[in-house]
Amino acid sequence: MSDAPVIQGSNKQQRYESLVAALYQDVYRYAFWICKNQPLAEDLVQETFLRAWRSLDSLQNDKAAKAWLFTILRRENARLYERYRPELVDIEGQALAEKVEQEPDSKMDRELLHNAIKRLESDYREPLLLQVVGGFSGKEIAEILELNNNTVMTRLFRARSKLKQDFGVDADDVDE
Amino acid sequence: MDEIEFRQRVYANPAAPDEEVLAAARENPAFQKILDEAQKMDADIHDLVSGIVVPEGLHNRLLDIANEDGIEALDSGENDDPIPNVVGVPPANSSFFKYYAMAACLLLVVGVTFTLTYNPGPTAPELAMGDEFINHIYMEAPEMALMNSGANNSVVNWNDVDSIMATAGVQLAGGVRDESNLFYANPCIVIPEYASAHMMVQGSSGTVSVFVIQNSPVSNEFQIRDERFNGVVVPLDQGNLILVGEEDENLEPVRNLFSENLEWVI
Repeated sequence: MSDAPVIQGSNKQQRYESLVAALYQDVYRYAFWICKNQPLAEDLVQETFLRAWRSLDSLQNDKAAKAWLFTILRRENARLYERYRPELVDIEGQALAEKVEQEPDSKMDRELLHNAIKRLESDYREPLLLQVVGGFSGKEIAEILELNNNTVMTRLFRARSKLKQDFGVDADDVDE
Repeated sequence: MDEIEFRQRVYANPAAPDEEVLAAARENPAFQKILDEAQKMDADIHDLVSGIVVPEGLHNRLLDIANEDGIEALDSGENDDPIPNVVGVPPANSSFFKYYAMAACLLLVVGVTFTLTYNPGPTAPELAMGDEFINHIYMEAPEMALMNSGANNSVVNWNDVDSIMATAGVQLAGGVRDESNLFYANPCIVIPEYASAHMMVQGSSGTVSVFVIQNSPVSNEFQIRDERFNGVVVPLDQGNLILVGEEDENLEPVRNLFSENLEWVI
């Protein structure tokens, strides 16, 4: 089960501010990986939080805030995509946190894994990101994606299997 | 548990394997190796996806959303709490703030005047969307003819209506039940990928079709018509409300009734 954010405050503004503080980073990272475009991800996050602010009074269960926010984000992504279809910009190298102490080999592995995740079909990438970035349980992912639990589990299995296969293949290419 | 099942369960959630998986791994070194490798890869995935640098200033921009809306709420009396005094923002009673507020009001007036004078009208995609709803009505013409003839006088079941509205992401407040002559509701797909709800109410000149769809709101309300029907597309926060009636139907009362009694549900 995902960690429930602490939404604090007695009025709407305070509740919103605590929601932003608790979740904006995870929301941005998820947006980044599904948009594959940094400016678009920023727009998406801002649209998401704008809608969240306006609908905050309809959120009756604070423990569901994270799932609620990610659901808004996915719907906003669908709307943004309807209005603007960007050329797929290669996000390789954009905004990756560089660890100063990284050895050249581990940096290469990181880039290979990055490429492998980027190549995943969205049906597999989205549940994986919801689990890894969002920390959602299988049941929560099923609700957000409007799938049944078994389908979610299968897609998570396939996502990791493909990553293992692709990452292993890329690593072998580098070693040759 | 065989290896296939073990892999399926581990790969679905390597970070939190259940007790049965852990027990199987303890009993079988090959399984333990699979679990270790899966957890290592998952740690690398987590490290990578969570290592994305969040743009500087994003937090403040998101907080500004509420502050900008909060100023409007203050004027309406909704929010009795003072705006937090952020470092660098002068107190509300300072001269700077007064001039800033005046400048903001002037800008607002100029902006509204410009918009009213130079309203660019609906875009081509928006017009095309409006046409799709009129076309949809022609597809349902037999049903509408039946309604108009009065042959079908069945009473609407509001529980069914609520369910249909939910599929389109809305709920109707009591005003619609009390004041409309709603006699038909059905889910429909007019724009691919977006569920919409189609309702029919009795207007003064015949049937009025009311659609709600949770797609991108149009930029401004605009009229649609053809040789038989007249309609209006109304942006409503998280989607659109589309009304279509006979050529001489006054849609204003139905428009007001639904726009005031419709809530988007996430």
